[in-house]
Amino acid sequence: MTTTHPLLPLWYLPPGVAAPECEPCDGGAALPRVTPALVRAAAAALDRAVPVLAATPIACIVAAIDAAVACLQTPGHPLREIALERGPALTGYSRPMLAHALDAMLTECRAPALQRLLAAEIGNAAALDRFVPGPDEMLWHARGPGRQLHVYAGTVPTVPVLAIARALLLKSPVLAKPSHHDPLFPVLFARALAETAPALGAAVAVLPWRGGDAPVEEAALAGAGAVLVHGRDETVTAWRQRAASPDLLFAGHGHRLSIAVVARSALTRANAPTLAGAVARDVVLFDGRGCLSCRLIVVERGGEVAPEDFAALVAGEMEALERRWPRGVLEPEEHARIQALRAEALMRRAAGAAVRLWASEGGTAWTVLYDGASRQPVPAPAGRVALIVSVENLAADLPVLIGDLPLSAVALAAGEPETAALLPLLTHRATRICPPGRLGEPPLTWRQDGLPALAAFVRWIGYERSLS
Amino acid sequence: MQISASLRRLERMILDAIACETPLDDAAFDQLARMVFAAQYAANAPYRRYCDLLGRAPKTISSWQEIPAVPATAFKTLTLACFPVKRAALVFTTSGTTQGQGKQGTHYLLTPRLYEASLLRHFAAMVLPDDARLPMLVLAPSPEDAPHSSLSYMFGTIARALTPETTYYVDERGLDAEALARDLALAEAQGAPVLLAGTAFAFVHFLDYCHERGLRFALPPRSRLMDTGGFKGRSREVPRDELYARYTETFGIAPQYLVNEYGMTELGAQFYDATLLDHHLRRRGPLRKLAPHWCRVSILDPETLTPVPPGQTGVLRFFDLTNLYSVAAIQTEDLGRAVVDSLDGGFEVLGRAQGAEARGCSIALDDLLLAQRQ
Repeated sequence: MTTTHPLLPLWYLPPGVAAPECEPCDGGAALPRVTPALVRAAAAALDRAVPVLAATPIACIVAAIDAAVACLQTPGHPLREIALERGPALTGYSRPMLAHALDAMLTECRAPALQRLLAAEIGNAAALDRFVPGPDEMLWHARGPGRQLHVYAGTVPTVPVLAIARALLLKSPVLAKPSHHDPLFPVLFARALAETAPALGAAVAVLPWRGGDAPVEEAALAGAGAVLVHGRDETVTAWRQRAASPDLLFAGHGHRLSIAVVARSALTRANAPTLAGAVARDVVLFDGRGCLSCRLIVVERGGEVAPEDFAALVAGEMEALERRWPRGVLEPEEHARIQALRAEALMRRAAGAAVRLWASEGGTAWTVLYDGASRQPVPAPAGRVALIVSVENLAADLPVLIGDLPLSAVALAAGEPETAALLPLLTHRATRICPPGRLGEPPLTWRQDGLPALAAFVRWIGYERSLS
Repeated sequence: MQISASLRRLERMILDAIACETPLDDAAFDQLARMVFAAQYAANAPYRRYCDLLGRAPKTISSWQEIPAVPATAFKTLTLACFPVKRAALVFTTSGTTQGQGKQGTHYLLTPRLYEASLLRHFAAMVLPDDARLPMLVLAPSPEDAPHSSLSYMFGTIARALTPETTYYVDERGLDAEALARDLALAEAQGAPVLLAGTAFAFVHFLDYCHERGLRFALPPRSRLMDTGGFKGRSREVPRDELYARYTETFGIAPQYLVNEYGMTELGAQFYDATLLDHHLRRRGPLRKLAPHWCRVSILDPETLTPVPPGQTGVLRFFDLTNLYSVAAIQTEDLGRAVVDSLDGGFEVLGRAQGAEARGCSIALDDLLLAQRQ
């Protein structure tokens, strides 16, 4: 294949660090050869950014992040063009899906959202700049942990952008290790920062290396003040063990999934079409790969619209969303799983089970599977599979159905009294409840897995002035 | 319910085909396969309705490739048999640990005849092409200890027909590595070649045992090893090349005497590396697995389930005549590809080899062996 593009570097280094050796990779890009020496050089450059960031007022940092995100949202901006043109090959997501990520989801990284996050978790944001009076007659100063090491999962392209932004809000430089599933977005955000605010651009390094490269990872950990890891449970556990130093703060986000719960009161004829669209959106967004992707839809029987008819509505919406945001690339195993799931569903239907299947033709673009017979369904695989199960009574059946699923969020459609009854059941395992249609697009203040978004990495310094 | 005369007649025809020296050619296979489909379509109501949902019936298909395949995982949720299962002579179950959250896949066999004939014929051709009669040392439970494991049944059948003596080194307490090491040392001292057979998981544990104690064997020439199952255990993953190098290093078995078997509970037929056969026939060939001529392999695009060009990766689908009394066309989720420079229909299994893993007690055994080591 010929390409008119020069090779796109899938790394970003702060000024002053010599360019690494690199080699071409798929997608018309180049990957750096990451050595311990390169990581040490990057870390040293980031550490030089610490005093610069400390002296930068938080308001300026917010403005700089806002401006960098604005670049990515501005039609025609070269970095946005790279995201949209090269992104599909490098991330596996379709161009319209990536455009949505940039336009809608990164809005949670603009100034108003950043200010809301600071207000929610820091209170008076000026505490990040200096001692400010607290409610207790004391003075308080919120200090970040210094250089942060981030390891990303590569499932949702906006996650690294938000993570880097959060670190910068704490005046932490970031050494980021992107996933090979998405090596692009952290690099583009760093380049946008370098364009709009060189001081922040000097506080980010993005280096993709093969996970498990011990010498490189030791170099990356050395001198870090905090470690953030998104990934498989094994990845999180491995990093947690290696980051087990008393001075090192750690936040890990392992495997989670989300579900939708629809009470019969929500299944009115008037409401059902909108609700189906919302649920389909929660399944479709980022092709079901994120921890906030909806992998199971539990519908209560007895509403105006039968669960099976609701499933048919969801199928229509899935088809429409496929036109709006075409699904991206799947691994062969993922296609095979979906095809097996479809065939199994047909087999069970043939055997008389209350199972129905709606599926895209000629491929695996979308699948809706209604299963009225399964007591303990296995959540759907990634790749836009809406698995809809029905239950007689949510309050009675949900605990069994949820079992020990590693839940992140629940999209809940229910009236007030039911919500009150269901909340304790759901929050037993899930840490976020939202309306259907919003599952995949949490506010910046979302506390993933119940952990604070900013405050987990803050050290508070109290100053008790003499009252005399 | 009576077993239909057509099924009984087909059983005899397939047994004849297995016994015959001349392999089934494409036309003969197609004819038999379509007769099997017609009989299964008639005798298995859920399968018939499934075919109807797909718009395929014996009268509407033009070749065996169009016969609807059932996903291997359907054996977990459905009873797939052309006879009342209470009449089953054999019941094989999967360990149920890979996908279905504890659900077991069950394969009912009306009679052991087809399974045993197929197994012995192909095993002998691929693992004992020199007609060697070797004592078999099995790193898997005996059929008595694991009555529903197709793998243990396989070893039991081989033991009855093809080996002078057989010892099982795995039971509910785990792997008796000490006894195995002792017997290997004895074989070495006596200069008597042996056949080592078992799950890759169990071999990994035994290799670790030998490594920790500095044990190495120089098994007599013509000793051989057949392992089965994925190389990905719960305890750790060992790449195939590394595992096979360790076999040679630890047992002193030449690489051309190492054979990996691929099989699954849902299929009567098994597939073996052609290494030993190639060596016996003094020919060189690429690493590949061979199916017996009464089972055909198709490699399909995983997204569209249409055939891929030779050499391209796809999902494996089998049409296995020995599955006469269940469903002959089985769709796996295992990835593979046809080995293009082999003229004998050889294929490779790639990736996770899930079907092989799900078989019998491999992962359960791995857990057991792991616990034993701790």
